[in-house]
Amino acid sequence: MEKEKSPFLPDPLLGCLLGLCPAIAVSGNFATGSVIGLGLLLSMVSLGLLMPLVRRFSPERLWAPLAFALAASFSAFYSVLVGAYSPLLASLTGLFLPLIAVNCLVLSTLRKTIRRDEGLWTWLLPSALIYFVSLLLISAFREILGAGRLTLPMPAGFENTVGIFPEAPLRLLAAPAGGFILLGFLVLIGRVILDRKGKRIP
Amino acid sequence: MMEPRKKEALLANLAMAAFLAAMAGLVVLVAILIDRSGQARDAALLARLSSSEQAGPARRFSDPAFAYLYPMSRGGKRSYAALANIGDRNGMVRVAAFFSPDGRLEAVHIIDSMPAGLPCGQDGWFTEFLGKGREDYPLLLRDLKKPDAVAGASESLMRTSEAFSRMSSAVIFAEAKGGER
Repeated sequence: MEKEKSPFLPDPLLGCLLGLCPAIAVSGNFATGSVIGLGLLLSMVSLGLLMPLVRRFSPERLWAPLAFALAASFSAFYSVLVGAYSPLLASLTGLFLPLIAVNCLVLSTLRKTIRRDEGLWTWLLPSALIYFVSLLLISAFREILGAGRLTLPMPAGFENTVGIFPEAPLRLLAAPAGGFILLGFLVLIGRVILDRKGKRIP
Repeated sequence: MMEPRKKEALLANLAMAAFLAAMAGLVVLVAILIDRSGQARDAALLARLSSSEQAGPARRFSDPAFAYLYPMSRGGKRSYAALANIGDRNGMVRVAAFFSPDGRLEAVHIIDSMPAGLPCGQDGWFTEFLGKGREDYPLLLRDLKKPDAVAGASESLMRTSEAFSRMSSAVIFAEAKGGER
């Protein structure tokens, strides 16, 4: 009988392919990638912390609308804060900042917190952290190779760009198509590693 | 008389509605406070750059490039100023644009650019790029479509010139509204 494969850490981006829109659209620039990644991380963790309270103090039929309202409030609040921190960063991230509320990763978090499928520490926090770190790495990789520089999420008046290469070594990576190609390779590598280690592929 | 079960449900609904309203109110309050402090900071920056002072309340516009238009005054000479974000997903610059009351672009200062080192992040780039130098900036979009006005036409040029064109139209609108008062 085939030995049952053990579960692996929940990896929403490379494992479950969740939250792809911001991961591809804004990860051509490290500053925007980190801002969106942080927004998703905070949104997921806040939902994970508040939903048990919502479940405790409200009837079950109100859990879903309250969860959606909480997610929308978080993303609106985060958009306002990013706009105050750096108007340029808010403009560069564009629509993706308010759309955090309906990001499929956040929606999946809502479903799980409403159904109590997974806990904050066992699924939500590791998953949010893995997504955040993956987005940071992908956006840094894309910008360094695709544009030859690294843009930091600094407020106005601070030096925000570090030059790495005088010429971009692989311009394709800066384009959305390059993002998809990179993501495809990362998913492939991740799954090969999981398979070799005998872990369950999500 | 309402059934106790229905009454309980109604109270629960009302409590949740009040909670949601309080949460929405909190977000709106924070947004208003941040917006006001940002507006005061922007007005001070524009006054410093143009060595003038704010001559009235800022007028809000729902435009993707700029949010407020500030009436300014220097020694009795009136002008308008706005802070705008111009660019696309490859890069964005924040500029302070100054207009005469008839909507002519008088000066552009670069405030910040992301990433740094963009060609459009250099002072003087906009006037050169727009191809008009010190000449009057065309006020109408149809003038911008003439080949001589859109030398080296590109998406960036159209995006830039449209943003300035909208700011210019906003100045003309604000001036007309101001004159009505």
